[in-house]
Amino acid sequence: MTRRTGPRRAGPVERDSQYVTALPAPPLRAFIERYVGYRLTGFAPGVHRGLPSRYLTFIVSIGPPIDVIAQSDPHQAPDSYRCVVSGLQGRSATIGYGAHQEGVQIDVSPLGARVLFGVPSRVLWDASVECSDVVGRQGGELWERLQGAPDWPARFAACDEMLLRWANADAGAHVAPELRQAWHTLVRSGGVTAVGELANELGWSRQHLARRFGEEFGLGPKLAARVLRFDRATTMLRHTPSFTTIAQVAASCGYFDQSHLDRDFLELAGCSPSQLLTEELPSFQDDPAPPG
Amino acid sequence: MTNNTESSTRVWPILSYSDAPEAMAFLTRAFGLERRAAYARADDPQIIEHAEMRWPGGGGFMLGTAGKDDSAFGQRKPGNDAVYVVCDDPDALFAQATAAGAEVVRGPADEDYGSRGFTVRDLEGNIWSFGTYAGE
Repeated sequence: MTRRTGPRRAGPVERDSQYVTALPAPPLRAFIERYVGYRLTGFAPGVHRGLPSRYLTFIVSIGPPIDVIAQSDPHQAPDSYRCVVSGLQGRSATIGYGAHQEGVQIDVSPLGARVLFGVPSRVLWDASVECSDVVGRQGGELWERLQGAPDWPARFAACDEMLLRWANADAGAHVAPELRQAWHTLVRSGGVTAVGELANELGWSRQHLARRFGEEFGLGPKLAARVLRFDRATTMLRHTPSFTTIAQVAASCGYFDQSHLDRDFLELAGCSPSQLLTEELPSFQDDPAPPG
Repeated sequence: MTNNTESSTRVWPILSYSDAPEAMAFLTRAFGLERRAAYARADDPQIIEHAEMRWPGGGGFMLGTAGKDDSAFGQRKPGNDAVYVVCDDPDALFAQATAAGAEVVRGPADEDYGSRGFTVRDLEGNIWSFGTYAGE
């Protein structure tokens, strides 16, 4: 767990930020990488960017709801969620926050969409929904359980219990093995694997890969690779010291050069890498996983 | 929950290696250092732009490939650094380090200030001292 400093605007109240990570129960680990509990108090109200990443967004709020001021898809109206589920996305969303933010973020692989939400990841692509609209009553129950839980271990235990109850492991088999392999290959390479190379590895034509991939995940393999490259670059930017230059990040993450990285950031994040770093809230999206 | 041993590591030596991937493998084999992050150049995995290793007993250091760029960090000559690491069992660690091919500078010995430790060189000549003395 890494402590980060918050926005520079000092609030009148003492600021405190807590991030607590935990692994889910073993049967859930195949598609949930970890839980991240967060509690931020005393920050001046503001907005932050909900960035494209390699996970589906699945956040259960505790207290104030999650206020999406601008959706990643401009055609979807702004909304507030007690428990938000969103698919992969190719643009950032804008989330408003008040002086108190608290909740549990559940990092779900798109390969887990069928298991957890009963739909392929494509159905959630570039969209946000209230959890209970996808999974029914149990979504509301999860939210309620977290409001009452006294501490982080109890909150994570409630997530385990609820998710184990509603996860349907059999549905996971419906993601074709080739598509699982394609996703894993892209994630492992940080989005550097070329689509042609990926198609060869699977013994599929590029067209067939693009079609099948899109049917499962909602976006094509090329855009997925861009999102994964961006995900890796933002992780590296946040976690390496300032003497690691943006040019080095670009070189490490498979961009042709720094201006290529800048262009991708403008499209995916809506700003430059340096602006992202200056304005960003304490980051919990990709702190290192807890040991063990 | 906002503080723990890891986030309280506030001093990070920065080393550079001609062959950073091999150096990391050696440091793990020889000393039990744990690789936590490594960012290789996408079109040349031999070049490590930035990497971090942790000492299980606390602390860590950063490293990169020598000559990776024109910056002050990129231009340092490898093989000139020295690091001292506190350890509980220097004799066992000495056996592990020499078995992995570390060059002995000074074998395990008791110091008159009450520490027991040893000193070896890694594959590129940096000096690693290990001892029970934990600082004043």
